[in-house]
Amino acid sequence: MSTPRRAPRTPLFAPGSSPLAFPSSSPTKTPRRRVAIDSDPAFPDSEPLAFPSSPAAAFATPVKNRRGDIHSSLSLTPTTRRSRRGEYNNDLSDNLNSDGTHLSIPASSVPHLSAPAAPSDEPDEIRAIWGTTVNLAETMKLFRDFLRGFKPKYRAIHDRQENLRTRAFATPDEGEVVLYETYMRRIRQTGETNLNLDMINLLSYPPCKKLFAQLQKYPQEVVPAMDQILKDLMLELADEDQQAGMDGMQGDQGDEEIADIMGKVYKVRPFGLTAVNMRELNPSDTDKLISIKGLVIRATPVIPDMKVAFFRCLTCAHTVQVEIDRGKIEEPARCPRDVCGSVGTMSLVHNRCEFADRQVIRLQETPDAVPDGQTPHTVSLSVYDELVDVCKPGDRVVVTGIYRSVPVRVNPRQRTMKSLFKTYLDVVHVRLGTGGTLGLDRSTRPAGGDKVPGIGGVGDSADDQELEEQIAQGGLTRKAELEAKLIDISRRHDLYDILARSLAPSIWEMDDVKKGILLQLFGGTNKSIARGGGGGGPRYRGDINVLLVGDPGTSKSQILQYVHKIAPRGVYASGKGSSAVGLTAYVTRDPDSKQLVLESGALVLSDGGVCCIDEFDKMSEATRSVLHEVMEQQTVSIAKAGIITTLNARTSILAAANPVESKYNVDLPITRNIDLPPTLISRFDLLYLVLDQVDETLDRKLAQHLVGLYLEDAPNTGGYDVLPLDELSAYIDYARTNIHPVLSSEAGDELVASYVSLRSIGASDPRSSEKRITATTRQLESMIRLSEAHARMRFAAHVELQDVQEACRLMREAIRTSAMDPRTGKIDMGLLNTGTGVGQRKMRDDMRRELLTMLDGGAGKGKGLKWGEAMKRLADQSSIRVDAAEFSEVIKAMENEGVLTVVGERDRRMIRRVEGA
Amino acid sequence: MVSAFLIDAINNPTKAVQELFEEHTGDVNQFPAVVARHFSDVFLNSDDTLREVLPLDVNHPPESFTHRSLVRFHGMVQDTSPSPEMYLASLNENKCGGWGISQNIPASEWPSSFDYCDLREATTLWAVTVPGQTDWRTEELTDRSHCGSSSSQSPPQPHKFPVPNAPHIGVQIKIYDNEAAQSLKATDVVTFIGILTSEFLDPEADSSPMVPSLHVLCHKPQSTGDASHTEELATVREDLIKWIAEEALGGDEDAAHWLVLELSAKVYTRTTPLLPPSLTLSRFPSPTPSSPALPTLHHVLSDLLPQYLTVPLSLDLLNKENFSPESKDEDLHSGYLQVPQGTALLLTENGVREGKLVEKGIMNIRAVQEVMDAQTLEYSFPFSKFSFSTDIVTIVLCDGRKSAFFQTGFTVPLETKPSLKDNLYKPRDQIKIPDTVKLAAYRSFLAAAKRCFGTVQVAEETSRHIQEDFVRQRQEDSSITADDLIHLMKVARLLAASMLEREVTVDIWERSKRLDASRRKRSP
Repeated sequence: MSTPRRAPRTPLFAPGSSPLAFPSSSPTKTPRRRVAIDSDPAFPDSEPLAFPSSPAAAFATPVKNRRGDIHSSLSLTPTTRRSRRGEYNNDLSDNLNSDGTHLSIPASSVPHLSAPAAPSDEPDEIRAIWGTTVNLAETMKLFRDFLRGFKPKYRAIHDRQENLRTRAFATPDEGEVVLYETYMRRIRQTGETNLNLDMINLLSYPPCKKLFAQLQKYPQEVVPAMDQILKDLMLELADEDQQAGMDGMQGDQGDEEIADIMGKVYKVRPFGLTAVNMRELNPSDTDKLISIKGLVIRATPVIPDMKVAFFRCLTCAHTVQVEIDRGKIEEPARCPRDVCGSVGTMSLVHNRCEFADRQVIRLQETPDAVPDGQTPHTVSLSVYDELVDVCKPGDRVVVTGIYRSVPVRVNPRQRTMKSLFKTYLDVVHVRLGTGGTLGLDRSTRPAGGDKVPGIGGVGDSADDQELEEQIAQGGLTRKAELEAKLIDISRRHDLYDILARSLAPSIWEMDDVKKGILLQLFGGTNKSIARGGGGGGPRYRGDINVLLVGDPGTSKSQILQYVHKIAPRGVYASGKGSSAVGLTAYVTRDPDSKQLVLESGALVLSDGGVCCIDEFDKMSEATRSVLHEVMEQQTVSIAKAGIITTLNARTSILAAANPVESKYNVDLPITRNIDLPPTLISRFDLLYLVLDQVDETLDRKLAQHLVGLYLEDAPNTGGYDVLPLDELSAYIDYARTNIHPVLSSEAGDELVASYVSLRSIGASDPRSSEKRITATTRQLESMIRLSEAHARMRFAAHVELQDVQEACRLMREAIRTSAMDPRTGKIDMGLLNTGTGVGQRKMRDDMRRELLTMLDGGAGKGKGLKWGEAMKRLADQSSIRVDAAEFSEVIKAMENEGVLTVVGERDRRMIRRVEGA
Repeated sequence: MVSAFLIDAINNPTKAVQELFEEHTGDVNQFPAVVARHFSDVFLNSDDTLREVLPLDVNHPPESFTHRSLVRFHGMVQDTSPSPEMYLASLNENKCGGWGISQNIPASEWPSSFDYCDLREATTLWAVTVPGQTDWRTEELTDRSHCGSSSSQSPPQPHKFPVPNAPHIGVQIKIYDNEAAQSLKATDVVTFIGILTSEFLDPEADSSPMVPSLHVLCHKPQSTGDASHTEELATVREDLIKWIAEEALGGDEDAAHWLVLELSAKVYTRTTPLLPPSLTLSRFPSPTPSSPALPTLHHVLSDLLPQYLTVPLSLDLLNKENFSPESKDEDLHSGYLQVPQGTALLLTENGVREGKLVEKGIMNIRAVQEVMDAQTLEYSFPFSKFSFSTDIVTIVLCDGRKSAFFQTGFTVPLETKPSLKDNLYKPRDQIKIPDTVKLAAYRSFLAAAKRCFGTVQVAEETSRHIQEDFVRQRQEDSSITADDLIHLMKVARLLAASMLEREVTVDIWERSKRLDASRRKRSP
């Protein structure tokens, strides 16, 4: 890295190693607002604070508040106090007011070799931001007042004025705490250096309204001033605490703490501005504090960014340090030592220079912010110091930063500069995850689990969910409005019907299916048993899985597509096209880094959402086996290419399948109609059969609906009012994030009663001696989930009787059609769980008995019976057709019991009775 | 006076802009809109004035123009993701800074001081020659028969053109009138008039190629045509079907009929998906080694349609080429399916041999199927996918009973007359092309049918008839489902459009039933 030798207007460029060429900062030539302080006539452009040029003195150098993100022309002398805290007085701020009458700053004791020492401020000077009437001293005083005076009650008042939900204080005292003093103590105790400052707090503290605007307009000057005040107050507070004899601050320990604070650089990181779309940034925002949100698509490795350059004279070995000033380092043209004074002998000594971390990030618009039909824009972000490596590609972030436009050279190889400008953001604050828009189910995340260590900072918490949502929704009042509207909807008496109707309004009828899917979208609550073993214990899924089986052309796919559109994190996959790879996670080698990476598929991607799988029956066996794990344990295990891991896939599954012979055969049990293993089927909470029945009135209605839809212009939505898609989606989203109903005892009793009655449906039939399994505990769990979802839909805090009743009705509806034993016409859950129903079992028993009689009887005695012949004889005896598959099942079972053996292959198979059995 | 300005503007556009700037007294922010309005008035109001401006196309590549000459470019917006560019809107001595003026002054002439308040933004896009624009359409647009030197130089950024290895022009477009530019979307077809320069693609990158760059003075999105829909055109229909059948489909008039129906389709509504169905012409024999590889149909369609593309499918092509656009390193690479609305796509499966389809191939097939089913195309960006709406008519030719890869709305097995069997594959010069008037009539007929498709209504009486019909059919044959009804209604709509009728009548309904029944009879 070298500094430009000529052309003083050429900015310093980033080293070529970066994939994104990036000037480290703004250029000098711009008529930039400057603080009118020029105390050193010898170096008109240099800082008023002298740098010790001798490295030997470095240890004694007061730490300068140097931030990568703010290239301020303002330089403030940190108050150097070291152990002389006795001199501490409350007029400290006056020092910054620059009236200089009672300066408490001791002059630096560092020997200044070449640069004249001028650490003092000139008494008559008024510090104002260049080109404005903003008095910096006043600004600093305001911020000081703010830190010393802000109490949460101000925020509460402010929020009330803006008609926002306010959090009630537990005690009146809670609103009276001096918030930032608490934070500062915590900073001291934890050794942090960052203070996250919610700018809304500035706005709500009446004396500081002005400061909010100033910070937004002139961050370049105001932020360093704030840093300075923070450090001053840290010292002040430490001093007070030491004198008050606070725990951990007594005597030497306190001295140590204070010395520690002296050596630190404190940074104020403001955030809380309303995030704008990056398309809305325009040149007038240059150098202002703005906030944008987006998706991180690329991040460079850490780039060393030169902060202080170290020069040595080739002639006399005199050394000089030059600090970065507005993005560039001015190379001394001649040796500053009067004795030497040779021209062009100063050379850079690399390993004596100081560097800071910098990283360039490319931020892309999120899909929801891109205008229809356009491709997304990207902007560059420059992050420094602690913020480096905080966000990774793929993260959604809200960043606060200073918008920069700087001229660039068209061709770095040529020295000619054309007047092109590039824009980027110097980031001061990063917040991960933009909350609501991500739309994942928060209850699936461990509390605080998404926090990144090191992003740091004490202060207004960045994961304050309410605030985050407000930002994500793009406006405070809009959010409140929406909420009011949703609550309004939730009070409608026909809520359930209108929501169900609004789901895929173009699809005719199928009300129960729609209701089932609606409840799936709301979902039950996730529960975990805290006292279980292994910390945290097992987790019970709250996700509801729904399977639709039906004749072709019954708009199953349409429903799926629709759900995919409105579901949070909806992912749509077709079972036919997807290999195991597409639906789950797989391991690939990253083309750039040559490292093995896990790429997650549909299931993992829809973690916390809904995964819609079409053509479920056409899915390969291997893929389906993955689903077993997903649907009950809600994880995906991967053991590939040396990586063994378990990924979370807490997803609801909505699947659609066609019957085996493409048309549902009502004479066969459901398990024979769907080519799916019963173990998988039983994992679906609701199973709907969507059958195509010929019925004149139904057909007429259907035809009317379709003709209206496809030939006339106004689509027939079932004739009633429906909620628009975005409103429905917002409603679901709101319910999922805010409503977590719990079972009331009344509901619990009803659940028990319903479960018992569901189980006894079969048993109570007096005509039959056989026991039928009608419901299993899986169905009980499903009922709980469904009733929770129903309560959630009502925005109710408790699951009540009506919720359970509706859940049971839906279950019964779903079971009635799916678990109907075609031979007996009775509900039989055994059909779904084991693949064989009672009627079927009875038939098998009959078949077995007959077969044994045949074998034991004359014909087959000794040499056994031919397979085909046995079947033929059975068929002759029976009034119903003997199914070949059934027959082989019976034989297999008997073979296993050791009653008979089968010899030979295919057509020549012989069935023999095992002697002595 | 206007014509004088026109000549001046053509000769020295930079000066024309500068003069406008000097005259402009209002807000600098309004200036780009003023320029756009002024130049639109001069050039875009009539075809004659538009044609005064030299076209930038494959025959007139950027290299053939002098620096900063005025050109017009008829192209497709390929990528709207480049970041907007900042420029100095006004320079010293009341000089205009936009339209590449300030961007291109060397450092020595740079103003010694400038005000950040003078910075403005210009929208940057990437546009390419309209993919699949047929020759006759290009000629119609250019209407200047002076063939420039067709340069052999390969165009910059070839990955941004949907058809690999095809000659085309790719231009970086800079639009100063931001408000007007906001409405431009990917795959929009637009005529730009502007000043042509050559600039670095990405001034921020260390090594960035030089690309042609068009500083747009005014632009106009392609209108969907407003040719009066004359009744005589309806008579052309039978002629057209006959011509297509005899020249390209081995005398199979039914297949030609279906083809015409298919070509009349476009996206009607998306709320209840009424999308153009896709068509498979099955039993379409593969070319013999001696015959040309492309079917005659390719030539016939390219003579009839303004935007038309043949994709000769093969395993190699499926596995290697992009079908849907993908952003790599923040650069949107194009794919076959990134074509303007209203393009017809002919996919020939005859070239497919046995072999392995890798993941990319599967994704490509899914992308095509997605376009057929939902008329949407997914563009991949890092960590996110964006769905873009398309309006593409797809026709598949295959040897077998049905398409190997795709499920199409209609499948029509071809039944060739033995005498005309050789017609399926013949070189272009052996096609009997009708006279220009007739050909023009064919073209306007197809355009009119497409327009008509969007306006077809159904009379009350017909819809009752259809409902009764459906109920009756269900009684007779329970295998008829709602899908069959939807299918038939689509056919009826297409038939009405292709007959340039405004309404689906009972007669058309019955005709479409007969048409569909005869198609079914063929299906084995």
